[in-house]
Order: sequence, then structure tokens, then C-alpha cells
Amino acid sequence: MDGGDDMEQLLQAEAMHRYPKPWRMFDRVVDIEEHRIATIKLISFSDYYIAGHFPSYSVYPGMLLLEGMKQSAVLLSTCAHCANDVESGLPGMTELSVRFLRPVVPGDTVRFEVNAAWAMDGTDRDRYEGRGTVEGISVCLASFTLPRRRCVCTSG
Amino acid sequence: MSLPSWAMKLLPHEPPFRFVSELTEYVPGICLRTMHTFPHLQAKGMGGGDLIPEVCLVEGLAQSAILLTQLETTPLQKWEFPLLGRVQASMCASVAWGMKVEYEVRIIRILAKQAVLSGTVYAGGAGRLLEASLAVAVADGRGG
Repeated sequence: MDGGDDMEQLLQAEAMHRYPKPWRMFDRVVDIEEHRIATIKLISFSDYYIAGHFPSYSVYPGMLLLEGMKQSAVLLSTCAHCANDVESGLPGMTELSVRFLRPVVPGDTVRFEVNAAWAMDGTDRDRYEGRGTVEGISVCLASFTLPRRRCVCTSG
Repeated sequence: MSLPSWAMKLLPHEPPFRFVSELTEYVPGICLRTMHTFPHLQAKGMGGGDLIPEVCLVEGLAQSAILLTQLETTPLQKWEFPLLGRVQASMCASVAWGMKVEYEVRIIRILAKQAVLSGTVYAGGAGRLLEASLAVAVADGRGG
């Protein structure tokens, strides 16, 4: 892939991001396939939310790591041809389970890998499995459900 | 039980990531109830949607768990910071910005530097929003 294609893909991914700044909990998509996405989040002292977490020392909030995995899953489930697909059922995560294995601090680069695990029978929801790593070491593990998105376009 | 006026000072979190503003009831050895109103003004910085993000509700519950753990054991030392270890939660409703949210955390097991708790989040108009189990711990920032 040359630099032009790379930039085009990044701009396309940013355009499809569902969340306004500063509520964007990953900075870049590094890989995306049909059922899998990898994104990264750069952690900095200048992160908006880290100011309160905590005033005298800085630990990136664990729940925002979970939000990063959720936002990655939302992008994964978004139609490649339009950004107008609609959610069904209760918005956001309903069932969630997350373990935080070590603190994430400014200077870290977190890589999120999220897989679409399976569709939940009899519901309008899909289950996702996610992992966050820093330099290859796991910092968080999660599974959660999101509403299934229904594409309303006719492309593809 | 009447709550000591200094109790809220036990919470090290500050805006924009502080989701507990008042302690309403403390039953030693049993539970703590707290509340917070998520202001409309904060919505723009947290997704801009009509509903409070679920991670903020879970975080408020975790912050209440950190308060209860300190009330039951000892306050955090200046070199210590709280860590969330594990959360399992089931959401059953969402709530709009501007609503008063109430948290209840109950002790399952508590040790000096870690605790396992259960929790429920309620909102006036929407009833029960979520139920969760949480594990919190205290980390030593001095390293080694």
C-alpha cells in the first residue's frame, strides 16, 4: 500500500467514526477484516479525561479502555458502504465483562484487537471479544454485546 | 448512619472523570449509597448523544466502591491509587443527561487492599439501570 492509499483509508475510517471528539477512544485503525479489527490508542498526559484520573498522578481510566474496544467494535460492525445503518434494540453494551490486568499510563500505546465472536440467538445483539495490549503485554480483556446493525443501503 | 463531612474527600477522582457527588447513606459492614447528576453540559465531551454512556455509569459505581472500601478499611495513602480489577455488568435501561443517578454498592468480601462488591445503579424516571459485580484494589505507586 502506498502513502496515498494509506491516507485515504485513514480518512475513510475517521469519517466513519461514530463519536465526536474528544470522545474518541482510539486514534487509528491499523487493521480491519470482516470479523476483526485492530486499533491503537496513544496515551498522553494531555488526554482530556486523565486530568481527573488522578490530579496528582496519571492512570488511564480502565473504563475508557473498554470504551475504546466498544468503539472499535462499532466501527467493525459499520457498513463499509454507508454510515447510515441503524441499530436495533437498547443502544450500547448490555452484557459486559472486563478484566484489567495492569495500569496504563502516559507514554503507553494501547493496541486493541476486537473480534466479532458470534450473533446471540433470539436477540438483536452480537457478542464481541476484545484484548488491549501494551508492547505485546495484555492490559485488559473484555467481552460485551452490542446491538446488531442493520444496513439500509443497497451497495455491495 | 450519618456520614462524616470529610468522606467525599476520600475519592481521588476529579472532573471531568468524577461521577459521584454526594454520599447519601452508609451502613457499616453492609453498603454505601451515593448519587450524581450528570450535567447536560458534559454530554458534548462524552459522545454528544442523548444518553449517558454506559461506561460512565459503571465508573460511577466503581468510584462508589472505592469510597466504601476506604470507609471500611483505611484511607488511601498519598503513594497509593485505586485500581479497578474486574467488572461484570448487565445493563437493563439507559438514562438521559441531566437525570439524577443513584448508586448502591454492597460488600461481598473486603480485605485491607482489595474488595469484591456488588452494585446497582438507579435513575429516578428509568428505575434500575444496571447491576454489576466489581473487584477493586489499591496499588502502591512507590514501585518495587
